[in-house]
Amino acid sequence: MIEPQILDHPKDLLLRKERIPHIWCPGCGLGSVLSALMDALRNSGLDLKKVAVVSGIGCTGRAAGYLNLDGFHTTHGRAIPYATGLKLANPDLTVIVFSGDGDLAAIGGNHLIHAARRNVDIKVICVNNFNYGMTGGQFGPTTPRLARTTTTGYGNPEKPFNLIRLTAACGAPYVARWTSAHPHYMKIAMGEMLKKDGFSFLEVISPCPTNFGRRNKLRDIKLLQRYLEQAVLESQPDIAKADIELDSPILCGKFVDLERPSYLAALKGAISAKVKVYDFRGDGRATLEEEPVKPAAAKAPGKPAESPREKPVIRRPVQIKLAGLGGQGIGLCGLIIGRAAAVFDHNQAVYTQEYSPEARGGASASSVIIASEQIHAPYVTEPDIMVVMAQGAYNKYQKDVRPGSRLIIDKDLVRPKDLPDSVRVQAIPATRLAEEIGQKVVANIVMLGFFTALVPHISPAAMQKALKGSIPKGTEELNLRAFETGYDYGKRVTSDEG
Amino acid sequence: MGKDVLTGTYFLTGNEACAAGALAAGCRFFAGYPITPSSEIAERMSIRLPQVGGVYIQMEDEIASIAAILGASWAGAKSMTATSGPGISLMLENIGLGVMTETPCVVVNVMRGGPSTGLPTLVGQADVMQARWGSHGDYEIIALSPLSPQEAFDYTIRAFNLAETWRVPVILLMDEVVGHMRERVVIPEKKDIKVANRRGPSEPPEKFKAFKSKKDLIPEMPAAGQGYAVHVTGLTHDERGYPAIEWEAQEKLVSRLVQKIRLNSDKIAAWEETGVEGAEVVLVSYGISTRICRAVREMARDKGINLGLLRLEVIWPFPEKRVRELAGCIKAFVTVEINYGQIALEVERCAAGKCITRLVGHGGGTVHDLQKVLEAVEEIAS
Repeated sequence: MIEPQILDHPKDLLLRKERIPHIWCPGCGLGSVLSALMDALRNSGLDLKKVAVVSGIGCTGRAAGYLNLDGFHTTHGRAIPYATGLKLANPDLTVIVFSGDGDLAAIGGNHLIHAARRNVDIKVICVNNFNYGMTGGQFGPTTPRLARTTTTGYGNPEKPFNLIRLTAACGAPYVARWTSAHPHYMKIAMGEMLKKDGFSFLEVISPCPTNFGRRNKLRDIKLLQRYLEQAVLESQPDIAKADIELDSPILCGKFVDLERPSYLAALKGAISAKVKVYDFRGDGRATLEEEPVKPAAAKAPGKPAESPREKPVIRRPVQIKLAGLGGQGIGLCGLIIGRAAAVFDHNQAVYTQEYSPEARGGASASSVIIASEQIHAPYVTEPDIMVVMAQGAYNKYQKDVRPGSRLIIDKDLVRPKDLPDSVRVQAIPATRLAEEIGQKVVANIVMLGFFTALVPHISPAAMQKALKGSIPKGTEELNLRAFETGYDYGKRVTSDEG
Repeated sequence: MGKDVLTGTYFLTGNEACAAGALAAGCRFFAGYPITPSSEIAERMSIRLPQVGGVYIQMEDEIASIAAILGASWAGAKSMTATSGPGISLMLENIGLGVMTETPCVVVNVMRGGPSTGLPTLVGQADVMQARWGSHGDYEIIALSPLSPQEAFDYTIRAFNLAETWRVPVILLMDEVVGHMRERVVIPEKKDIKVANRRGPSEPPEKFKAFKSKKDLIPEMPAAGQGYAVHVTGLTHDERGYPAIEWEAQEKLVSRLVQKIRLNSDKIAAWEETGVEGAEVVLVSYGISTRICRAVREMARDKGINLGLLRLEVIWPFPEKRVRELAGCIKAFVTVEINYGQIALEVERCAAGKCITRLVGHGGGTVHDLQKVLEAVEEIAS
């Protein structure tokens, strides 16, 4: 007697056999859709090790668990962004999203439209059974008008999404629809999607006899029969006629198939050509280059790591507040002061900025604390020095001027009033001097030079180095001239003060 | 290709330093959504990642951002997102997915004042319990809190190393002040930066079980595309990763997820003690509030008060054992945090009545007034 030889079914290779039987009901269309996908995958010639399937939650969401591929069963609605991460982090993967209408179009609807717009390279198979099957048959975003479900007992009052028009309108380069009664055409569509570069979308109308059919007088196999009867197959279907009503024809076919550069293609092409390898600029603005300052070498025994000559010793933290109108560049002044102290003088500095909702125009302030020892509390609470470049800013921050402190102002723009006698006022026509140099915009740098001449806590050399690293290339000469103008003015003021 | 570690001395914000730290740790994927006060991290990553062959993507919302970094992590990339309170609230469900599927990733929360939209541009520290318990279900998580831009750099690397080692999302609890303030940041040579990587499979696919743990309770992690046909689900699952909707599987899995952190907490928890020996009163704090406490210690010293400071570097897991020990030796703990009592409750729980516990709380928007903290200390010390 010849022993019958039992061979594996060719599809078995793609199934996790130990997970079968599946959870799907008799008469459900999901098995047909999954089977078509397995055929399409086998025919695709793809290395199946490089294929990942991502699902959300729901009956359809279980599909990822039955395929013997890398499978990700994620949270409700989030299969598409999860798949986006997988694909972009490893472009060699073919990433398929296999999920339901509620998952993809209701809770995940935002991701669906953005993925289509972005044209990210994932293949989305949306199995549309017109209801939330797993949770007992509630209506969903695709339930036809007047259909009955467990939460539309009087009929659905809402207009459903037309997923074909939706994804096409968002720019998806491949959009098709079939029913689960069309295994051959599903397979063809899936095969095309696997080859497609970019976002591709297939809607499969699939029966849920247990929940949707039962409540709409289409039990068991009758629902599938109905879809087969309703289906209208066209080689060039008119997208304007793709709406689905309870008794309307269900227009099937390929609605969109065009070439549009995918997200990855855009990254690799036009964008990557523009990526410059900038150096890391100290103030974080990445459009400009800056030589990073090499860290001080480890201290050799008996040898100080840095020249103490250059480093001003600041025994007690000095609190500096700088105020002006948005656009005057007073924030940049504070940043340069901090940078000079922290990076070039090897002291400590903390720089903070007041953030206000106005991007431009309002009075704003930045603050710097400098010290030789570690600085703990980050905010300036009792300024030792205030630098003010506009009357509006003075009015706003006048409350911070303390007896015994120093007030540095633009003498043309700020008229201090109600000052305690003990405040030492030092003034420069910074904006006028800047105009004389030729650029009003460097008034802040004139002020910085002035400040450097008056305040002993930061070395002029450090300030100049910090300045050079904080301004746009090509403006060095102008800025250095502005700095020197302010610095010389300051030296004259201090010698006059004696 | 650009360098991922730009060695040098800089004057950076905490947010910029965080981005630099992420690159140094090997982060090559960032997905995010703009939100104050964290946006500078995304901005920096959008410029830097393409320079080093990584991918930056701005998603449609924070839910998509966290989902994308989980996906990227399973594709083998070290991944990160950064946000603030409202965004973290949206991410919580998928932080739970990250915990359940043991997916290494880093989630930065630059804390601002809340609840709700609250104070977008101003500081808060009120998301500490949310970091611990925010996603549903029972789990353990790791959270760290830097107090300076330098630490924002260092701790971001540390966060990635912890995520990779313990296979859990790690939350970097920065705050608005640390995120926006500038200080000197030294980025060391690449060779001097310690980087940990997840453990890959040691067995061939046919023998491999993706969620079977080793002695340290951590399973080995393959990447998608390596031929392991992993099945990853947020459902309760067995060692193969297959759904197992039964209490025995739940017990086995959830207890391991909890114990892998708890039993290893000696290796994960980290704190810094200053002047704790012989102190009558010990301040407890983290993040920006620690700097206030340091200043208060100096003021107290001038007044002859011996004040200790216990600073949490890692907030979760909390250093329960140490707080319990200290409670028996001191008169009081004073917790200083920008909320109305979150870590203070942990301190109280661990002190278990063995010493006085006090909170100096704050609603947010700025840091504590030094004087108020000092007064609270003086009241107890006298």
